[in-house]
Amino acid sequence: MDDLKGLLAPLMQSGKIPPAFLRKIEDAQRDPARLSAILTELTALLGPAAEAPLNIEDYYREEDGRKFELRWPLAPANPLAARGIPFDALDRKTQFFTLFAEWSGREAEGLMAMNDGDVAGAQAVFLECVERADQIDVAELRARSYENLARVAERRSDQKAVLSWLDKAKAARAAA
Amino acid sequence: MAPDDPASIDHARKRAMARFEEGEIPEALAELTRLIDAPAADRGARSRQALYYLRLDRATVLRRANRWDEAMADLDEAERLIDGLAPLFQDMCRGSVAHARALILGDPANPGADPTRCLGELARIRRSGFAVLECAADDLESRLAHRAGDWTTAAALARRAAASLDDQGWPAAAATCRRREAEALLGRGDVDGAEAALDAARRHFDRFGTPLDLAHAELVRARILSARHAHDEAWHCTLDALARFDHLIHRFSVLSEQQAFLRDKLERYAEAFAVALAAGGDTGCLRAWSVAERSKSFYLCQLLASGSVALFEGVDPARLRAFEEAGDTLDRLDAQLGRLSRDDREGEPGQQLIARLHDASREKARALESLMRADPRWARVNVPGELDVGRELARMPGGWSLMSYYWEGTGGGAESGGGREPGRLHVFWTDGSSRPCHTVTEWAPQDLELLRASRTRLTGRVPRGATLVPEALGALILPPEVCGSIPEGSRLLVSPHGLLQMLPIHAVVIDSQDFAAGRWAIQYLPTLALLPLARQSNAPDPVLLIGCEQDGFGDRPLPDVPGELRALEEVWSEPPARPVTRHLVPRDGTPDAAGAEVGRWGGFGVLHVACHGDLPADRPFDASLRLGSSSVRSSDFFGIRLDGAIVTLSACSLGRHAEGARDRAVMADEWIGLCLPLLYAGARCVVASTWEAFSEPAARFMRALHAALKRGDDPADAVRWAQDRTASEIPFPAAWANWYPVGVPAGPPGRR
Repeated sequence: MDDLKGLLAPLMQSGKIPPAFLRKIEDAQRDPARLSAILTELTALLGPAAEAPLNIEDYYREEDGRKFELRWPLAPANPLAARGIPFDALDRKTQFFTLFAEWSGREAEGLMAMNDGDVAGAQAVFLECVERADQIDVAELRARSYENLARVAERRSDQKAVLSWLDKAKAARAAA
Repeated sequence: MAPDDPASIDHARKRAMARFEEGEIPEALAELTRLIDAPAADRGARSRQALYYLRLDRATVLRRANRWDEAMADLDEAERLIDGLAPLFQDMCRGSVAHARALILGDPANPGADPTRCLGELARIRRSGFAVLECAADDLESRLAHRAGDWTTAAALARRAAASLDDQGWPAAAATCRRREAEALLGRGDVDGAEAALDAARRHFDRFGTPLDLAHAELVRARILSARHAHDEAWHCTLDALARFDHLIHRFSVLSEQQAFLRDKLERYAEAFAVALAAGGDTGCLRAWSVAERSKSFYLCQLLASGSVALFEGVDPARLRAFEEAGDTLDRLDAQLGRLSRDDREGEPGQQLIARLHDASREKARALESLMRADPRWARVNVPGELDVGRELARMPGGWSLMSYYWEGTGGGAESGGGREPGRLHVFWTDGSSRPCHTVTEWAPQDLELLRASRTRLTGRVPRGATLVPEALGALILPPEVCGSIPEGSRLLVSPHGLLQMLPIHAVVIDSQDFAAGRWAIQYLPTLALLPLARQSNAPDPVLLIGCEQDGFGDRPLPDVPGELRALEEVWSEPPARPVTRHLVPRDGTPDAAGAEVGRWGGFGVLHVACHGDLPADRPFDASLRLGSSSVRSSDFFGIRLDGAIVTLSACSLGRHAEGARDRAVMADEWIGLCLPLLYAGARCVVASTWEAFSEPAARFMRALHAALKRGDDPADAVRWAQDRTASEIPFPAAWANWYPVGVPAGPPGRR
């Protein structure tokens, strides 16, 4: 845990994600056991601030079984892209899991952009996150996208927008 | 999502803070308090973290409401919660608490400000090493340097903070720092640099800025234009900025909220004043004069601008009942206190009663605030129009000269707030040809000390032989060029400011010879901005004389009251007689029982009240006239309409007004007491005493005053005549100089 705490200290100090920490996460993405261990450590370090990880399964609905369209290119780090597997070849449920994970990746990119001072860029990413959440129709992701947009507005001191995005987030969760 | 879900609590907190940023301070405070006070079980697993943020945020809101001690208490509580938070956050949270403390300790408006402790907290922040806190420390140090006039340091730190904040994605905070950098560069004389910094700030403000950001930025632009001698354009920007500030004031329906807000705004008015004056000549004089007057008595102006709104009509009866009941409780406790023996009053029983009195007063204030907030009439009161002193000069009735004071610097020279010593007093006046004039008097620290001592001396029981205004201050208050250019015998309308409020300028000795009252008939007005707001009056004929010889509050008897009322009845009954109603309220009676309930006072053109008055220094909103067993309180006058009545209060010290209330020490330049509601109700002139009146001279003064009013004298002339008569019979000025007439001069019909 001390190792992870050491890696995270610069993040806490500067607000920027240290490259060493990013490398550690990237490496762990290929090793579920290591990734799980890191998440456990992170949860301990963050304490009650750590968001409970979302269980994707809980949000999947078979509906009429229709497949999803790939509206945004997959992130290069996505195993599908790395292995050259076409998105259309996946069944609906795997597509859903992939798009859900892609939403998480984009959210992280948006948060990093915001902390790197690119507030407008972060806003664009979070608006895209709303669309991504709409596509897979997950109210919780929609709500989190709105909350991130509220964070952008907060940094701009745009209070009307803060209230508006927070209301949308609340409404999204209420509709779930 | 359940209401105790962490996300819900976080939403509610952020919503509250967003409302706070939009100026809804009480609403934000109520919501944060509700969340903090919610039972622990409702807050779920993240209760400590949620509570930490709630306490931190509430401290911010309390600080902006000038509730310093409560803010510090919340920070102490937040710090206690940190130990239970996740290890990774603890240092960051401690730094945030240190930053919040430093803001409180470094604020000169805070009576408990402590620069040494502030620097200690700043050092703690810097030691924490967090980049965002480093910016916050730079920002705060920049503010401190700015206040101290160290422009180079202020600009450099603001620039560094802005760059770092931008880098970390905090554009709004960065823009605020850039605006301060612009102001600091202006202070240093680097106009081009200031413009570049302001442009950078405006790129953010123009898209996302709050109304306050935009107003402030516009004023900085005005200062830049003024520095480039583009005075007309600068004035245009200044008016725009001031109009934006005025509209912000419009959002507040409760006086205390405005005061906390105005504390900051007074600095902006001081800057606007400098921009206006820089134009020079008559133009600069009139513009600066207009700004000076706009910076005074915002609340009264706002109320008068909404004079047609019947504030207590149609309100929720339950709220009104709660408010009235709170007033009754105050009366009961006041009476109990009055009945205690001196020993008991100073002992345990008295202390207990006083504590209950304060509770009851708070309850009444809460009831009034709830009433104000719930009733849209209070919330939608109109914004006063823009004041143009030049236009008002042209409209003044003949025979009147105007004179205004304005202390340069922050806070208008009020006793608290601002933090800077007022040293320069601007005097504006009109000469015999109604031409605007301006001069400045420089006040040394010992002069200010002398002035403060005089103000302190002229309260409560003033000794017969007391010097009222030391001769050494005479030429500073009424400089020779002023005295030499206002024709003798004129009526002089004086708008005092800050430390000159409640000072009997009519008792200033001129050239070691005359009192000012010997030269001019002086009347006071909280601000000339009231002139365009004054309602056209048509005072009815009837005269009400009401008094109380012995009240039910344990005050000493006033044996001269019955005779005073009879004498005034004789005055008004002489042909051509006016209808007179005289009521002597017995100890256990009330005005209502005597058939003279306050609601009917609007039917009289002259109101004379002779009784004990009470203006508790720490509860000015509870100022009252004690009639029998009940009090007529200042708030009662918000519910009636006086159609241009002349009100004379033969009661102790009720011409005074407070400079603070409870924990809100800074009251800007507002006359909180009985004058404010009486003027709001429509009184044309209020004549009241600023210290304890001497009983027998008071009776003589009132007889003379009413005789002059009866023969049709203007109230200012009538007061002067009555003062002169009293002075000729009783040769000590403390016996007549206590009478202080306040009001708007009446013009020819249709003029106002």
